[in-house]
Amino acid sequence: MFLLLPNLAAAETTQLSVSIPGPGAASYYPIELIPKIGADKAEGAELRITFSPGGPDALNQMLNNNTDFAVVGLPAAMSVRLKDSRLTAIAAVNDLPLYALLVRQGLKGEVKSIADLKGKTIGLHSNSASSKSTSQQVLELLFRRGGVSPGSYRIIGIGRRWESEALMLKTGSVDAVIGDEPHASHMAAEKIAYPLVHLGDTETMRQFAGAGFLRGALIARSDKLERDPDKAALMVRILKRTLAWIATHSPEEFANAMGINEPDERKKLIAVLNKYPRQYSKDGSFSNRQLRDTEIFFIDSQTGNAQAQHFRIDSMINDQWVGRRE
Amino acid sequence: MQRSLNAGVAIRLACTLLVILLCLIAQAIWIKELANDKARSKQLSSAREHYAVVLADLDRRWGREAFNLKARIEAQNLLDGTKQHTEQLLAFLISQGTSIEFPSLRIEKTNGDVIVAYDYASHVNPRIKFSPGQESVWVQNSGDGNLYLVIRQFIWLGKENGYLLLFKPMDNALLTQMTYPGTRLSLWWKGQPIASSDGDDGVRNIRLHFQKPETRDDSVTLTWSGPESENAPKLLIEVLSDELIGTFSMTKPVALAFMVIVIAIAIAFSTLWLNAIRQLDGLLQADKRFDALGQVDDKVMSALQTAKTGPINDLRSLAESAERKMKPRTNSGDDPTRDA
Repeated sequence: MFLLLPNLAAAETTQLSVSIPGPGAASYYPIELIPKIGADKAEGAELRITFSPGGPDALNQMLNNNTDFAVVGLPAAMSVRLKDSRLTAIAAVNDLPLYALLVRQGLKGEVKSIADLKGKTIGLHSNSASSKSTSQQVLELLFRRGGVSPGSYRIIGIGRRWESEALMLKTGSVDAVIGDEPHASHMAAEKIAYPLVHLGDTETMRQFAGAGFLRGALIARSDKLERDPDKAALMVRILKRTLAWIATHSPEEFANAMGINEPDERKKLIAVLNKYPRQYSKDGSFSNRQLRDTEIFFIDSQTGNAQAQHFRIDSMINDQWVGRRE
Repeated sequence: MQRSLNAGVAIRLACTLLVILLCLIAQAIWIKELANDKARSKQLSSAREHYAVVLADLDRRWGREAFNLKARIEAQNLLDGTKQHTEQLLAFLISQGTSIEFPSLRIEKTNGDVIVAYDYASHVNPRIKFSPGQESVWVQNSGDGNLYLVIRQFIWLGKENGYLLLFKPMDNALLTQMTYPGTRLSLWWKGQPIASSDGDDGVRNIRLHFQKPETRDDSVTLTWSGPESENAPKLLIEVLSDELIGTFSMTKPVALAFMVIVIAIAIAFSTLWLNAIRQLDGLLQADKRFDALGQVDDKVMSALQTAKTGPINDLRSLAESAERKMKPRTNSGDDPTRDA
């Protein structure tokens, strides 16, 4: 399928597994795409994907041996890394954070700025007292900048599934959510919620320092990297093959490969892909500028956490398979 | 060609030392094996005891959590009345997040109609068959390949009872969280390994080393407590810790013991050798002086005395014999110092 030459067809298939937040989150589509375009088989492997409600949970799956790798927002991985030094980022997946602060439609007219969300209930992809998901860090940064101090609003973990996010907004169980594409566009189109802030907007990126952080990164365990570096090299080759495929195919071909045939859903996905053409990394390489942005974002969103203030992102980057660019 | 005395002694000495060395090595190996066997046996019995307690504790915890979750759902009163507010119930479950021990649950009518299905990760929907009165069952989900413990309880639906079904995955993560350093766990069901504390690689590797979960020198099995004991999964516990006494660590005491023995033998032999030479020399000196004087004097007697107290029996006998022969000649008045 899709003209990918199986150069290792005769070799024994290597079993790989990866956990990602989802399903159906645009940030992690490259991973969902891998088996669909046969990028794993072309490298002599078979990839199993496990879905989790959020980044820290996906990392837990990896740390507890349910999967070999995880793909999560790098800020979430940094938060977990503060307590577990085994986490290592080995490739970039998603260059553009497309988080949106979405307010339920019933509050239209009442909530016009972040400050109006004081005392409201906000839904996150996941929540933990010991490690923070990227959505939680985005929320805290946006609210602090918007003049809403920590503790003056309520947060609830609502998972990553479209059904969960939509249901919680529809029933009024939450007043706003930190959502991701393409759910953000879906919610706006179906008038379930309206976007108050979208990190994909150029103007927003200018207002919030570090908003261009590395959204999705391939994470591995350092002890497993030492034991079996070939497996990591194989996974990175599969990822690079997939990213190259995305870079050379149209949004329509992307939707075809993902098997999204429902016209409305397909239209929205294509619209998102067209609107944010530089969403995905082209080759998995790390960008020094983006890593600096990620560090700024992480430190800024973790005000008061002394451990986070002293954390340096380079301590968890292993670029031996993907390299770096400026 | 006859060997010299020294060569003969040296060869015998070397052979003796070699035998001693071999004995020491054999003893060291025996002690090492004995100590390691005892240590491994102790580790295995401790591991078995520990994991038996862990399994029992997990069963209690899941049972408690299942009961509490049912009570929390019923307390919401969302399933009571004519209209069942499933959306509000789902919102309630979603807001519980991953704090619910069971990532998937279903609420069904007693005829099997599903009222609510909730999964906070992947959707789980295996075929389940409960016998009448059965409260839990093991079932493998074809979707993810995981084995699930399904706990079924009655739940009040307002006018009638329904069932709350809770799904607990028995996956690699569960075993990883249970295990401690020096042990490896794998879970077997229907003769196949389905999860390992070493992840999917561990599941593949265990197939190469075990045909079935069995007790060996370094492994022990436990049957998971719970329903259907004949169909319950088995936990294979492997002890991976290094030997208590390694081969290298035994070389030092063996070398030390051998050196002590060599030094002791060297001291003993050199003393014996020196005394034997002195004994022989005494006999020769006595004979030589007696031949020169033709009678026994104090010096001859002293030399004979030395020969008589030496370590070699034959030389002592020879010295006594020589003394007996020399004395009569002296007593006969044959004074060799007198002029003829």
